[in-house]
Amino acid sequence: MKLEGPWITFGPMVTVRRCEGCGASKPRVDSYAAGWRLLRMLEPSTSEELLAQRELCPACARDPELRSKLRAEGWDMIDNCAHRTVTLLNGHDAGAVSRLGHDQPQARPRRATLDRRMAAGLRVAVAARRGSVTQALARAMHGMPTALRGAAPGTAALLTLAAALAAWWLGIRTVDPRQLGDLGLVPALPLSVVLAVAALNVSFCLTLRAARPSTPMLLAHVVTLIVILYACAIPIQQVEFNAVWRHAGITDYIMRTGGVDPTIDAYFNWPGFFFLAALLTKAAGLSSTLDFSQLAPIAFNLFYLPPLVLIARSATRDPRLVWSAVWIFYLGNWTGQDYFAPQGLGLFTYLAVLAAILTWFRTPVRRARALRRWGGLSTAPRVLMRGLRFSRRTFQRQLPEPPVERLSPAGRAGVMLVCIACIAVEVASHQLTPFAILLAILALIVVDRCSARGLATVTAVLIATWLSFMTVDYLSGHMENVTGSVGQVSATVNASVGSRVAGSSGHLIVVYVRIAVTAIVLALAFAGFGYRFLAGERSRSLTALALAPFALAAVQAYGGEIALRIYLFALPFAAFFAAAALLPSYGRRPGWARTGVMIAICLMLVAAFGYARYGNERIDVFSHREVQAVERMYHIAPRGSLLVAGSPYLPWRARHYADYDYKLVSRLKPSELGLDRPAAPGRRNMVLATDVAAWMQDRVTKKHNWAGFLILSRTQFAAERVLGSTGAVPLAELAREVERSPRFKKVFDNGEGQVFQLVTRQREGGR
Amino acid sequence: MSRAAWLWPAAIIASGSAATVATLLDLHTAARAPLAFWFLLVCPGMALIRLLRLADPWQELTLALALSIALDAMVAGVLVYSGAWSAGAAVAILAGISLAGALGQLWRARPRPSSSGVWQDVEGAEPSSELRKFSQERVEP
Repeated sequence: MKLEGPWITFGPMVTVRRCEGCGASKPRVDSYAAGWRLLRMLEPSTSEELLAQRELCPACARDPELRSKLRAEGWDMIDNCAHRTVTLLNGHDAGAVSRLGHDQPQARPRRATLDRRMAAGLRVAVAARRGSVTQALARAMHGMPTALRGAAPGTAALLTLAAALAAWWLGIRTVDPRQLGDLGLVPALPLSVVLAVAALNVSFCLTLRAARPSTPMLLAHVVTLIVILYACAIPIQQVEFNAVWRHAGITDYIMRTGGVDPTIDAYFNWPGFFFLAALLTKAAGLSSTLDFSQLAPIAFNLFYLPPLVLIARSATRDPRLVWSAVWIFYLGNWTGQDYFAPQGLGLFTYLAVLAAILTWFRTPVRRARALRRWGGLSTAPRVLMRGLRFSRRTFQRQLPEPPVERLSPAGRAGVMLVCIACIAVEVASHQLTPFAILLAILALIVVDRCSARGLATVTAVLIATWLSFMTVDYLSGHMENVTGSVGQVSATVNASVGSRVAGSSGHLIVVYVRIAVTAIVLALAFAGFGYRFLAGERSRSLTALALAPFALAAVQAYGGEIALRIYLFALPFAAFFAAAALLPSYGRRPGWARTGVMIAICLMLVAAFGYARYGNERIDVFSHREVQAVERMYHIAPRGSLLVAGSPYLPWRARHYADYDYKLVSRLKPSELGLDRPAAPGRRNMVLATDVAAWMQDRVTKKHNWAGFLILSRTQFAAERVLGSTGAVPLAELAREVERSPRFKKVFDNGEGQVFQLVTRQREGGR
Repeated sequence: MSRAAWLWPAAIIASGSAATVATLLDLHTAARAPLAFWFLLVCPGMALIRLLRLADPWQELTLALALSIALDAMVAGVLVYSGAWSAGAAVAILAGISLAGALGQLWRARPRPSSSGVWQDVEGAEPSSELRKFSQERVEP
């Protein structure tokens, strides 16, 4: 017989679904923290079993006796809770107040020092005084009969979202990439885009004020935010960032040759991402990843969403906090590491593996053990703590975390296999992310929050195996790059932060905004951590995960990018604490003052995001003429030629990745050009052009190249102006000299890109 | 069998077949790219992850995306390193994996003889008027 029709539910909580009639049971995981917390607060001895929602399956629900019995029991429980709350408020029940301090009968019940955790209870009680006690409690608790749930329609919010999207789309299409200045995209944005972004943030904060924020509505806000913040390149119709073109070239090589050559460069020693890219491109019937790489930022950020939700849910059941954490993550992710690159996918793998560990392999909090540890403190720290007014009670106070998801042994094995597969692919895709994953797992093990301890060993073995067998070609020539910065924390920090504070005045503002937004998010996170700590809402796992990436600074300078990567790996967890600083604890509804503060901070963060994230647009966006110049160079230059660019800001190498000898003037050392020697007498003019020509000639002869070509373009000059000269050769000066030098012949010029051919001295015969 | 039980397997099998045919025959249609992205990024993982019967769609989605990407990269990587790179072969292998997972889902969800203890999930069902009346009479003052 099929049991059809609705289930009838009784009682305040939903944890285990059990039919009281026939006894069949089924775990159910939509328990709500608010109700559970409140009951735990009122009755610390309440077990999950007691909190099971009493239900009747449709068949048993036909029995009127059974129904009335359960109905009475369910409402008895609620009435008891209400009664206890009112008693507490009147200060009549000292025993109950001490129980609020979590099983500490010795603690003196003082109204003035009532635990903050009582706030939820107080709110209920105040409401209870105004009206019906039962009604107040019923409203405070989730898990009430389904008919009472349901969100407000939120038509205004939906209209705001639609209007914001439309205004953004219409506004962003009017931006001319050639008009961008040193401050990047923001000054070029029309007012409609600014208003759209502001309205979206205000609408999100107001949605959080609903008594029951609707998850679909919050999700709609987040998806709209992702589109508006991360899809700016699509309407401008440009492929951004020189690395995207390079990655297209590597994928093109794999698609054409069906193999990898580890001797070409480091990318071919970690080719996992490019295998995926080649498969996607071919299966989609496209010719290059450039056909879809514009979509990468929005796609990656949408991919990050599910694991971000799971991570936040592992520490709280408060939907406001979960979605605010996600919101802050997207406002704070200015690092721009989500373009079409291995690290974009790497962050997803990192988040997915950690979300799986936190959801299924998190060690439950062992209260007794925690008590013993604090109780066993020596006298000195205890006195110190009292001096700081952090009593033992403050440290012992710990509300239960959301329960670990239950899964069958086979299911756990399946999830573990998924984690291992993801880590294996990541080990083959990116140099840094596997180390970040390993550090995060180790951090969880150290704070006793990971039951899958073997996963750290598996990760370490996978990393060691890949490095030992698959990257020998790269490591044998670059061991100094890899191990040179181990332990050099100060030099690493200087390379990552200090050396980046340079360039034009506009760019300096962008750099300072980046530092400021990083500092604000981390400061908010610190405040949120303290707020939750004092409220007894500990999240040891997320704290450990927020701190773990900082250990990367001791291992690698990562080409001066390690500070950026540390921030990126810590951001998902820092964002959770930052959101906690903006919301009331215990899942309460934020008041108007708090909502105002939250709106102000969100607006500030989103404004800073615009400058920090899109501050380099002038050098990241290439014009069609530059692309045309590169195409023309490939057409003119015979395969096997030496191709030289002033700096990496050029849309090249998207094809013919291994067909030419590519070099950059900006990467040349002064000694390679002879610039470290004093100029010979009589050498006044054309020094740079002559030296570069001599170096190119030398290279052409040594490498048996067919010819030598030099390409200079608008973005290379802009990069030098914006970022400041980084190489030994000033490009603007070089361009002027090359124009007049007899050693170079101009073969193409369209105003934004010039191609010069080296006039070789020794080559005879031609191709 | 409820609709939810066969919807995903049917979508996975259909997407896998269509993507394989489009890749092997090198069809040039506007729908090919969206179909390939949908199939490669979602279907292989979803076919296997749904066998775990996870309780929450966010959990399912996280693991399905992660596993799909991992399987894609591994299948493509094995073909490249073994010198047998072919996008058609890779898509066919992934479609085979997806098909196996989808059939596994259908097998687990097959109709079985019911008894009085069988559970029927009615999460989204509308509460009865009786329940609504009951909750209103107890909650409203």
